[in-house]
Amino acid sequence: MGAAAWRTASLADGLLAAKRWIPAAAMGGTLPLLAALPWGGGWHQGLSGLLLALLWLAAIRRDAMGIGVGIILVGFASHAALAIALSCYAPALAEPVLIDGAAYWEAQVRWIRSGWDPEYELINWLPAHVQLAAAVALFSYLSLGGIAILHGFYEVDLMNFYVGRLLAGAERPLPCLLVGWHPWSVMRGLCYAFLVFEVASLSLSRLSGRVLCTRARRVLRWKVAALFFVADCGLKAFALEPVRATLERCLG
Amino acid sequence: MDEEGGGYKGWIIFFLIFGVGNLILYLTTGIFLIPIPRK
Repeated sequence: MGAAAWRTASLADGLLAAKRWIPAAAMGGTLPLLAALPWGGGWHQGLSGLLLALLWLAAIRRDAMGIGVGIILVGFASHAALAIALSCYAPALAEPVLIDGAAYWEAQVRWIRSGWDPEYELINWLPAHVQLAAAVALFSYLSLGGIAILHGFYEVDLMNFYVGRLLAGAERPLPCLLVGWHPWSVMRGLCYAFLVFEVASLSLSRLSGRVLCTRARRVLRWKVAALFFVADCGLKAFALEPVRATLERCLG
Repeated sequence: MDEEGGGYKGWIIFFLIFGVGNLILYLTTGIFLIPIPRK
């Protein structure tokens, strides 16, 4: 099984050269969503997750952390740009493919207008953040990062639908776009990019019986992931109200 | 031939554990290990 895992990790190796991973990640993040539009459903998230995971594994196999994080950034950013544009200009098309997005949008509008949402109470979100980080680490080890990337697409699509609808009704779109994608959520995404890379690397190393990188590089990744985790929690604790107030002004 | 057969066996086990196993794990949101919080 170790040999099969190693060969799987090498399937997309040729795309890492000459920056070919950039268009490949962008296509992996957007083409499944476009293909899902006539049919509906959230299956595109799984397909995008699979395509990005194959690229990502090739980067892990080479211990190319910069490329690995770049693949996640390009893949998710291109997906987000398309999903937000669809939600803004064609919500009837976007809603059936961005699963649970409409319910999340309604909950966010209630929070922006009223200033209160149980999900944003520290006593509720802090344990959930810790639990999610633990789940992401464990399942990344078991799935070579696959579950984390798949779940990541589900989570960002909740945000994408919400930001698209915000922009559609916003009197001032620019600040809406800047804070609509909550800064703490961006920190969480960066935290998981490093965490999942490291845990998947550990898993591939154990499966294949190969040394993929030095202990110092592993420690560095844990520290960077921890730093972004603290930034996520800190921003959510202290910037929640300014962000909400900005969004309320955007909505008018 | 043996090596090829062993290779196929490895692929099947890999697919079952990392493909099917993780799909089941995700669809049950990890309730048997650590539940994955969903908004």
